[in-house]
Amino acid sequence: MKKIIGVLGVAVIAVAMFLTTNVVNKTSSDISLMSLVTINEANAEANATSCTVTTTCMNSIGDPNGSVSCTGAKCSRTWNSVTCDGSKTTC
Amino acid sequence: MKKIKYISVLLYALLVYACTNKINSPEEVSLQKISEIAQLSDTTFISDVRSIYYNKNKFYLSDYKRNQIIILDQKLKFINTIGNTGNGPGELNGASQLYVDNDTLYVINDGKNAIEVFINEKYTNTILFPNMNHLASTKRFSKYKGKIYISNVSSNNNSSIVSFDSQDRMIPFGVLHKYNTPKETIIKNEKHILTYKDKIISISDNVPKIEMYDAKGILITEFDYGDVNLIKEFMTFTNKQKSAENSYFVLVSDAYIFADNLYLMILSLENNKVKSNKILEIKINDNAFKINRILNLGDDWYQSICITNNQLIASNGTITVFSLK
Repeated sequence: MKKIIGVLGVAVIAVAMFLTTNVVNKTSSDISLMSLVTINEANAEANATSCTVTTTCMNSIGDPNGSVSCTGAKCSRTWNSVTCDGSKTTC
Repeated sequence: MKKIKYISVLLYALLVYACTNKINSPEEVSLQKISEIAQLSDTTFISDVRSIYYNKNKFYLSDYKRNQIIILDQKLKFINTIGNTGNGPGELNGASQLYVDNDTLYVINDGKNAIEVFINEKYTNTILFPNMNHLASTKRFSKYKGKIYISNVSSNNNSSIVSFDSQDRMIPFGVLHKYNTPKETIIKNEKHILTYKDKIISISDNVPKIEMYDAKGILITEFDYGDVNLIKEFMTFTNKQKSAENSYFVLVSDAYIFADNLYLMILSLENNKVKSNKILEIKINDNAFKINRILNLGDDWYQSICITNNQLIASNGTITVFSLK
């Protein structure tokens, strides 16, 4: 009888340990996945093509008079404006 | 009897909803990419094409960085280049929009605030704009019966377009929308100007409005396409962004007319990001406009377009050819 109780006790402890370990593993695997996603997104942001454009503005007699600039994924400039991701800024 | 009435009303409401929904959500067609061209047969590279024009079996591309007009044949094989970088006669300092009328090529020289004229690919003269308030150098311009029509905002004349002939006689016209400050009024009234038969078509670059004028500058009709869901969504987004008097979101980056269709290269939202990969095809029927469909060019960012019989050429710096059916 004692042997049976002992075996059952060991079995219960083993099952409890297995379940706990599994829960811990599940939690840690979730964290790892989330971390990976975050790292991946951060890397994607860092690797995304980014551009900055600047145009020197001129006054009516052709002298420099400040500048305009912008940053985005798609940039272009003209003699009196810059455009980034569709947002246009003029001198 | 009452039941029949209710059913009739319900059917009518459904019909109205279906029709409205079709207008607001036109069919979207994905175009098939045929080819891409980045390098010319003379081994040089296309780098920053800002405008494309098709005339008499030739394509004309204005390259802002190369400061050249590149001429290609119908199969997009290299023929010739016009212009070089500089500030001398016929030299370019920011080759922007262009227009071709028979053997005459007009190119906006952005750095000089002028139009350079080439006849039979040889430089002939420069049209300067000394008294212009604000020449829209990045917008399409056009020519009809010897007069050039171009967007030029003038607060003094309360106009947004000007026509001028070979004697430099300038006639201002066109609706001018007033904004909070004079600067805002000037920059937000820039328009693409195209000609269709004997009409002048004006397309705002930042609000969903098209105007049609006769050759004398009399307003015939206005068309608002702001109810199209794609446009409505983008306008809602842009209206929520921080604004300054010297900045705004571009809605129409290019416009082109082929046969009886007007094509607008529009900016739109995809997953909360601004994209420039869709074209709104609008049918012109006498004095009326009707939304046809949306053409989807895929994932890239395009800034100018040109349409021929069965092809759509789009520029994302280099050139991409799509099948258009």
